[in-house]
Amino acid sequence: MLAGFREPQQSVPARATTVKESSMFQNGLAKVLNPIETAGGLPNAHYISDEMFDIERQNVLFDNWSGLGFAKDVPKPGDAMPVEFLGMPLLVVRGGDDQVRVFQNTCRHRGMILVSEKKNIGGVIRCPYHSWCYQLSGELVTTPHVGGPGHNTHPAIRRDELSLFKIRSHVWRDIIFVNVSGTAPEFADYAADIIARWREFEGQTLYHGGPESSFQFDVACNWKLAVENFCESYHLPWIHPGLNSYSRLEDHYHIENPGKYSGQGTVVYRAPTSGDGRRFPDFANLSDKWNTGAEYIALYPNVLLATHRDHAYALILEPRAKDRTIEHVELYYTSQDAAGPEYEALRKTNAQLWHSVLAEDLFVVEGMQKGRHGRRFDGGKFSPVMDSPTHCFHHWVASQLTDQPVAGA
Amino acid sequence: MSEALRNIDAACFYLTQAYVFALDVGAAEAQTLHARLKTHGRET
Repeated sequence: MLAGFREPQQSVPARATTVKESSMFQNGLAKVLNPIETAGGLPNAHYISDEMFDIERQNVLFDNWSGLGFAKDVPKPGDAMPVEFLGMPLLVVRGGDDQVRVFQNTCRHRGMILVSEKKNIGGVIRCPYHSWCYQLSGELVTTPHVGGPGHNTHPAIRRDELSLFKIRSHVWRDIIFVNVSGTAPEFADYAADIIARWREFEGQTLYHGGPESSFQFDVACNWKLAVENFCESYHLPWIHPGLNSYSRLEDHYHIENPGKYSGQGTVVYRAPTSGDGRRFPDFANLSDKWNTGAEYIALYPNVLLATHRDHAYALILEPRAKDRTIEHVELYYTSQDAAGPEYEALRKTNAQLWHSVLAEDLFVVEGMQKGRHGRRFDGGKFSPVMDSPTHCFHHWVASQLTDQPVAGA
Repeated sequence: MSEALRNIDAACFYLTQAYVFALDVGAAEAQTLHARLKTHGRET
């Protein structure tokens, strides 16, 4: 760090207009906040309105810890990867200290995009426009000819005030989380409950399964529908008949942590096995719960997590538009061996299994998206028994927009 | 005198170009070039 460097003052963006202030949405959102027996789901506008998409971008996604990408995509010091997040140009950089940082991908001079494609930076981040140069940790190093040809300084140019805008970030389970507004609690507090719930896995390294363990879906739906679908097991018998053949509705249980996460668990997880009876090695020191247990949790707002005795996956929902989401799926294993050539065929089989299961959901989330254009649809009706994890998410979203406290939090 | 200053300006222009490219690739020469520019009051 350069002597005299101080963190630049970053203004917190003004909170976007809350829906509470808008009579257009007030009644529909109030009903979402009811107990499940009398609650309705989020009104149509939350899925088909550009205005609402903009409001949620700030109040739901930027104000909280949202999933941006995966640290495995910047594996070496100097790796830099531009990412557009809800219209914001961001830059993920792994520094010489092996730390992953996220910056706004704009030069402090004239706002030029610094890095246009993924690359490894051997020295500094150099703006292609006037060659202002920044350390990988964001500090401004030099401002060539800023005071005239051959004069690289000027009294009006305070380098210590012109570091790259750092976006608050945290890496957990290889997922790069960002809090764009800078106003969320520390990540350790924000995610304390899920970290505690999965404490047996905490601190155990996740090894990415390689190219066959990465895939994406480009889905014609609002990102929230993918969260809502992931949370519930109610649709298992009809949408996932293969899975349902051994993991039935009655084998699943709800997971609800109001204000934080919701999802489902199963008590009959079957570990994938190769033809010769080989299984992936397990995570270390797990309790008996995980012998046949697995859990699938949506960490609000946009990260879907799965954990099993022998592998895990993460799904980041990238909202591209009010009616378009890219689902980024990455699978991880327990050791170098499990991620190595010996288990390649089994990893491929496992990835194909999850690909096919997740693909089975696509027509329902796209169908629900289309259904949101039905003007008579009133947000729907929740089953108090089967839909509580979904309502938990709806309630949280509504609370982000109306400043209401989250019930039970 | 003004010609000497112009020569220094010209030298520092090219030193700056070299400095930037050295920084860009992480070359060790960046330190030396920075030091030379600093002696002429063109870098901090």
